[in-house]
Amino acid sequence: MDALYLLILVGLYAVTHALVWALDRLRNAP
Amino acid sequence: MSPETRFVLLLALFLVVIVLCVKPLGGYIADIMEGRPNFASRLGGRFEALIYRICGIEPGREMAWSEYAIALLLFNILGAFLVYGLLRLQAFLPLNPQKFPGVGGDTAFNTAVSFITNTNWQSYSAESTLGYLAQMAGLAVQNFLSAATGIAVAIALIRGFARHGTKTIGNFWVDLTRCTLYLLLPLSLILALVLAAQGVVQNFAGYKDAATIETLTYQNPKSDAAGHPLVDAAGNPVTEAATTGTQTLPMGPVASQEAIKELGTNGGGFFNANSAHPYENPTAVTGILETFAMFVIAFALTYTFGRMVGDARQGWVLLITMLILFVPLVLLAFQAEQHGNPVFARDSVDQIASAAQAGGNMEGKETRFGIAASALWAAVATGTSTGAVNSAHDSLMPLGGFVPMFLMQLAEVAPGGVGTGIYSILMFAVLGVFIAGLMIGRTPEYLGKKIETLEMKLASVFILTTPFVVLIGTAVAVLTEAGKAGIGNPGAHGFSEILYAFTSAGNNNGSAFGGLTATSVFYNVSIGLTMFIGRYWPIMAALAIAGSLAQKKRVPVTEGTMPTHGPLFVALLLGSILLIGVLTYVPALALGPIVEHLMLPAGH
Repeated sequence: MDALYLLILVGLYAVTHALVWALDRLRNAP
Repeated sequence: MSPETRFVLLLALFLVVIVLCVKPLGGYIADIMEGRPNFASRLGGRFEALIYRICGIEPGREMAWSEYAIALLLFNILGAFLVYGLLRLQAFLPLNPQKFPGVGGDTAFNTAVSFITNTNWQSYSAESTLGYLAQMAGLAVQNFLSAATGIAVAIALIRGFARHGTKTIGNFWVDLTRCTLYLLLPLSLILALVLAAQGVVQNFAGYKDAATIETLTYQNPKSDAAGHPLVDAAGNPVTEAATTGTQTLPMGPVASQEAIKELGTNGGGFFNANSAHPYENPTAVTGILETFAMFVIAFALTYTFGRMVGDARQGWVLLITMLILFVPLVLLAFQAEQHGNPVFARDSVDQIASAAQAGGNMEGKETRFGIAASALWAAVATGTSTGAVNSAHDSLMPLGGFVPMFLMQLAEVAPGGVGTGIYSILMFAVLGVFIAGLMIGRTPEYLGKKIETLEMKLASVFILTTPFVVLIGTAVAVLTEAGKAGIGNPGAHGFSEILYAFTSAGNNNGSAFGGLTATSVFYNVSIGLTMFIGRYWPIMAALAIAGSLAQKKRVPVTEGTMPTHGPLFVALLLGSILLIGVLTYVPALALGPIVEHLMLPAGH
């Protein structure tokens, strides 16, 4: 059970990190 | 003097005191965040330097927006792991005199996300669930750090407006340290001492059993082996008669947690009754101080903004906008509660205020506070992102309940949480000048920075993320059995309970309509996800805008530049905030509090 909730936390981090990457790409787009 | 006059005087006095504090406190925040030497840095400078040395931080090294964002995100997620571990393992940890077992996984997940996001949604009864170590090292620490995180984002965004031709927006670790060390810790220490002097509990003792004067006989709800309440065939709770001659008095380090709970606009109570509990809020003085503490930093940051961008008038304009949004709504909340329930009036129940009674709707209100202090608190706690309560919001009249919900749905800008309020209203300012630019056919500018397509895309991500998670969460809950199982009241009010819960979670407020049983796995997980996305996705967009603005050159002011320090800009900003809030949420509000209000005369 703990693994599931910790995995959700890691997933939320990963998705938000990906958002930073996407927004940075948006900024650098011509 | 009528209750209405008394309330207006209370509100006016309260707001005057807040506004008087804005300039000195806002200027102080600008000083500490910009690293200007002052008495605080002279006192704490060596300790600050020691923190940097121990943590390997180079305070002079500036960060690009993406580095700032990742540092913030990483720091916060590590906080979530820490809180989760403390809650799950508390049975094996010290400072747990009541020997509470470890918290369930779904509740620990929800609570960890709740406290790192500054929400403080509590799906547990604190005094019967958490030991003192979990409360202090888990929750109170996050109360400081989540508040400091919000202020750091605000300062980074302000730097974006203030700087030009640079890629950097500050150093997250330095902002976090300075805000905690020089602002939140000293103010919390002072407030905690005053609260303790007023009678707020502060100790590590186990709970006390006190003999009551009378033996009490009551109906005790029965539970099954799994702890779920038993109900009979008609759905009524199964109870058994019980008697007791003792009352358990909870103890703990309350004052120290209460101070940052209000100052950091966190809101998580040490006790389940939150600030209605006499050990959290024992006197009229503590009630006023706690209400004041919720507002003061959020409003002061408007002056910090003005100072940092080099034009104090820009900050005053934001403050006036916040007040124009707040004042009518708090008056509406008071009026709805003092007016009482028309169904009772039809049955000839006297609801008129007199020397013998408060009048109005006193259901769910602490008699020590009455209607005025409860209505003011409800609006202050939801106008900020605090979410602390001193009355039961579920028992407010439909319009009284509409006010806290709508204050949250305005994206928490009146005045919003510490940091979150100022960066949220700045997003609406960006949107406002863009709309004005479209109307008059000029390139929109704000504080000498051109607002272009990129900023509008990022502002759209910021503004739309929260309504998206709030409305999708509400829709999923009303469409699923797991969601509907938590509803405490049928019909429109049941919908209001769900809408309020997701509104509170998405806007990182934390208050609730308590009729909703949100302790299930469904609510713990869905509200946890809502809180996380509602907090960090807008923050990432705000930091991206900060990075973009910092890089831009400053455009000189010309005759065609729209002034952003006058009444026209206030109207534009109000229009943007209300337009987005109303268009987004009115359909949902119409199904909840508005229809409840319309059904009242019919006796429903």
